Amino acid sequence: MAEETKKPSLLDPAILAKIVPLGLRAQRVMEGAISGLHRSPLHGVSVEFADYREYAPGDDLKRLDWRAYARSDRFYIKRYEEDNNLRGTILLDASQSMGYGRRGMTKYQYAATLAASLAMLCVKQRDAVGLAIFDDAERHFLRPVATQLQLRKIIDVLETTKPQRTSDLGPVLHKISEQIKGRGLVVIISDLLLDLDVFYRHLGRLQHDGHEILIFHILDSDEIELPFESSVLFKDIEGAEEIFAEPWAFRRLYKEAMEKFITEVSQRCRGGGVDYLLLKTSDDLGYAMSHYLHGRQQRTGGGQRSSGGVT
Amino acid sequence: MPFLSPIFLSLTTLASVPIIIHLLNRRRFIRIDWAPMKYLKLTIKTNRQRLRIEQLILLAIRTLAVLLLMIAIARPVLSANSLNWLTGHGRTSRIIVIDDSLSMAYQTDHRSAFEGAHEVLTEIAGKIGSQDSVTALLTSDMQRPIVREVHLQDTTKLLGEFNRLSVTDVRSDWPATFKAIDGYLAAATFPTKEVTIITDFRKNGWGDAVKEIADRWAVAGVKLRIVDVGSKATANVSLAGFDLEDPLVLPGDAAKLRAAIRNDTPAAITGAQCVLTIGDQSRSILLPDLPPGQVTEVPLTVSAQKPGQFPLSLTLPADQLSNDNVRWLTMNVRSAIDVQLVDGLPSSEPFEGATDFLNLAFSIGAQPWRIDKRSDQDWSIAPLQAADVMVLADVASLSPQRIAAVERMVSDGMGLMIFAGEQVDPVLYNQRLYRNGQGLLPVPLDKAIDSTATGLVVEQLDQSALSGLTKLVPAALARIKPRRFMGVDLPAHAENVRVLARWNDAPGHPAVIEKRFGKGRVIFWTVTANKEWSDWPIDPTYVLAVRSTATSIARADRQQDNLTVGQPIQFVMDEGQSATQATVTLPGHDTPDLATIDKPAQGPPIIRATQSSRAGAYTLNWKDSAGLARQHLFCVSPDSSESDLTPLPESELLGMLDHLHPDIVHYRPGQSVLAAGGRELWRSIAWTVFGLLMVETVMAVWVGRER
Repeated sequence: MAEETKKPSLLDPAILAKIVPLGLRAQRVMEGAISGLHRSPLHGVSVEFADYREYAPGDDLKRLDWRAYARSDRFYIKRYEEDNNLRGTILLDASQSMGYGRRGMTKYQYAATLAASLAMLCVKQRDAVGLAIFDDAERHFLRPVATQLQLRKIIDVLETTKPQRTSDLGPVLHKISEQIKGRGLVVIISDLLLDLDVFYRHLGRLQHDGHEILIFHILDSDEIELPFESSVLFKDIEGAEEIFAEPWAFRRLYKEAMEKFITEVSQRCRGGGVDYLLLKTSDDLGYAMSHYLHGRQQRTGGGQRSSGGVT
Repeated sequence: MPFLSPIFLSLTTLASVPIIIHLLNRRRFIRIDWAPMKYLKLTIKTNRQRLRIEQLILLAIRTLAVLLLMIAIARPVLSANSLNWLTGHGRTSRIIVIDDSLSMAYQTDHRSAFEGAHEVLTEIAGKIGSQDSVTALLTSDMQRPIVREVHLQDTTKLLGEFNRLSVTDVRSDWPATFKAIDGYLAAATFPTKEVTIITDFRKNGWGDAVKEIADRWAVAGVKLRIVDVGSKATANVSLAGFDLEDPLVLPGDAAKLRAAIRNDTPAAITGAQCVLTIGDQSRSILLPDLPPGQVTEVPLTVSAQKPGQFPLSLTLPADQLSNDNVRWLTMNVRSAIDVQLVDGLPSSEPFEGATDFLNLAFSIGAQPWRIDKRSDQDWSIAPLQAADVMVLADVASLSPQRIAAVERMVSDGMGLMIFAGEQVDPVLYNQRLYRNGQGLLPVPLDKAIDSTATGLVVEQLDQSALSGLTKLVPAALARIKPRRFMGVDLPAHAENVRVLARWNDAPGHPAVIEKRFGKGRVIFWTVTANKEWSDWPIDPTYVLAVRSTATSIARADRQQDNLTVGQPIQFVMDEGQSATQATVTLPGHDTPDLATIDKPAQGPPIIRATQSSRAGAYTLNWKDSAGLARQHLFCVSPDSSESDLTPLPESELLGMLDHLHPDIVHYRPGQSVLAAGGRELWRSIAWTVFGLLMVETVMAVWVGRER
């Protein structure tokens, strides 16, 4: 009862109602994993040998296959199929740009709701879920744990966090990649209004580390459509710069630029095997997530994963 | 650049309105904390400069449109030549002609055009350089310039002279004015000549006769500038006529007058009163309704109990042009009418002669008839005496010399009555008196006819000598039954001939026939003046008929007493008389001016006064050969054509002046005539504003497009 009275507001029943059925179907897959019916594609210490890979500095010497060394005079690491639950880490951008929102929710609120919903879904699937809040640095980090208490912690962090400072995802990704043990699912929720070159570089490293990456690109409709009719004094939300402009005078060019930005991000991500989903704060989150998870379910139904990387 | 309504120039400050709106719009903005600044800057940077230039151009167009609109309202004038109008061309002979005709008194907003002319002259005089020679003239008296060929070191003299002048009652006569100007131009000192005419631009008085002079001026390089100081208004009520219907008035007679009132206003005038003045006595007369655009004739009667000259005047209520609301008339009340009876059948027996009944008819009662009765024999050898009416009754023989003398007298105004009779030889009369229509006799005579007529039928004619008979009952005229009358061959078309009465028989033979001959009239009676052919002479209607006829055709006064403004006042004295100390008393003046006495080598002396430029009563005074003081009254009225205020179309004037290409300046009170000397630009500016608004509309859409 106490938990019910403290039920976080970020967990919108309408959203959850739309994604829980899909979550249940996914859960069935994951339950199989838990029971050993389905193997995790992640490689680690297990009873069943998977394959070899060349030794790299830093690898655990306990996994070195001396027999293979004796045969080939090369160092190989033995890899085993690991029976493990999903370890998801949600990286949520809490920079000041995420605080934008003229009507309804701000981007941060939208992103936080999405994060809470995903965390709820993972916990429901008994998957470990963690959370990293970042702006220009990592502000909060919760290691992936598959407990209800973890969900409470995540929601508390989401609710107490206020968007501020600039965003710099590069160092954060670098740090996160070090903090996440083993391979897992990394969910990045951001407006991606940052240095994309740095972002792509660090995203590649995450992929290189074997993480599956899922990007939720959160934007406000205003930021795409530039719908203002009157004169506007645009103030940089993360800086001090101000620009006075008549939006009608460059709306088409702006929309083209934003479209190009979104298309480029989408192509770079998808081309690199990263799941990408653009969400506008005006979109119905439950419907959008339901649609996405359904598609994801279809794509991952055969257990296939992209082996490419982000370049 | 000069402006016709410079007061509106202050409105040009409204041109700042678009700038103010622009600045206010820049203050009306929303502030947004924006995240994708990178993409915003990226897109703004590419077209921000161009957008700013476009907006500045748009703002400039809007500001310029408002500015030009306000300038157009202030009515700018392109006056490239106005600045050097009075100062350029080196030394110049300038002739300034001021129209002081009657219409210049027309008032608009309590200001007359003549006052406008004064303002224009003041401005022009102040601008003329002292190196130029100036001649200033009035159209009413072109022979006596206000100043002639003077160098205006000081304009006080010219303006002082002009201040003493007022508008006259003369009519405009621009061909005569141009001719007079031409004379002054011929005598001008400097080769560069400029003429400035200040007028009210009325159509009356202009004519193609100016074209020949204007063409000559164009060849000679004379510059002409016409300053229009008149208004476009034409509403006016005028007294177009005021005349005596009776040519001769006797003491106690009710003299018939006729006034013609022209209402050139858009509305009918009802209940108006005019004032009729006889000498020092006045009386008000209620006028009939005066319909708009029409001339209404008003009959009036006056009488005087003693002979003499009486000035009459009729005055309408004042309006914008009051000078044409009054007319004057000299009424000469004669003491007697001189009648000369020439009897072709003289007899010592009572009423056996041809003129005995006529003598009786003129002699009974107290009417002042002076009868000179002679036999045809005596008359034919005696010197011909002047008479008001001459009667030839059954005169058998007339010498050609005597007929010629009578013709001269009739032509000069004497009335002539010719009665038929047994002695009248139709062949001789036709030969000497009819002369194929050129003589005194109205119609050729045929032969005497025995009559079956049962009365007299009087024709209803205007100004008929027998008009007195038309008032009688028909039974009275039915008593007139001729036994015989002279048949005539009435021509189908005879000029100046009309039948006044016919016998009441089947063919309707003419009984009384009239012919106008020069200034006089001839009445031919187809019956005898005695009882030989009818018993009419013993009927009471006979007295009325002959008296009415004699009064109608009697000679009016020899002197031309009623004049139109501008006509010379002159009194022709009788032969053998002389005059000294002649003076003329002008209307409204107590002190007389000197008049001249012309003594031509042949003919009687003539007393002349100065030209009559103002309407009113003029009195000539002189002393005759016996040293007795004599005087004669003349009444002068305005020319009714001057009451036609139709404006002169500029195109029509340019057509008359053709090659001269005059500068035409439409002056309005309160403006500078120099400023008004050019071409008004408001239409061009209005089109420019319209074009700018079109450009602004297109550009606003183009600049405001989404990009």
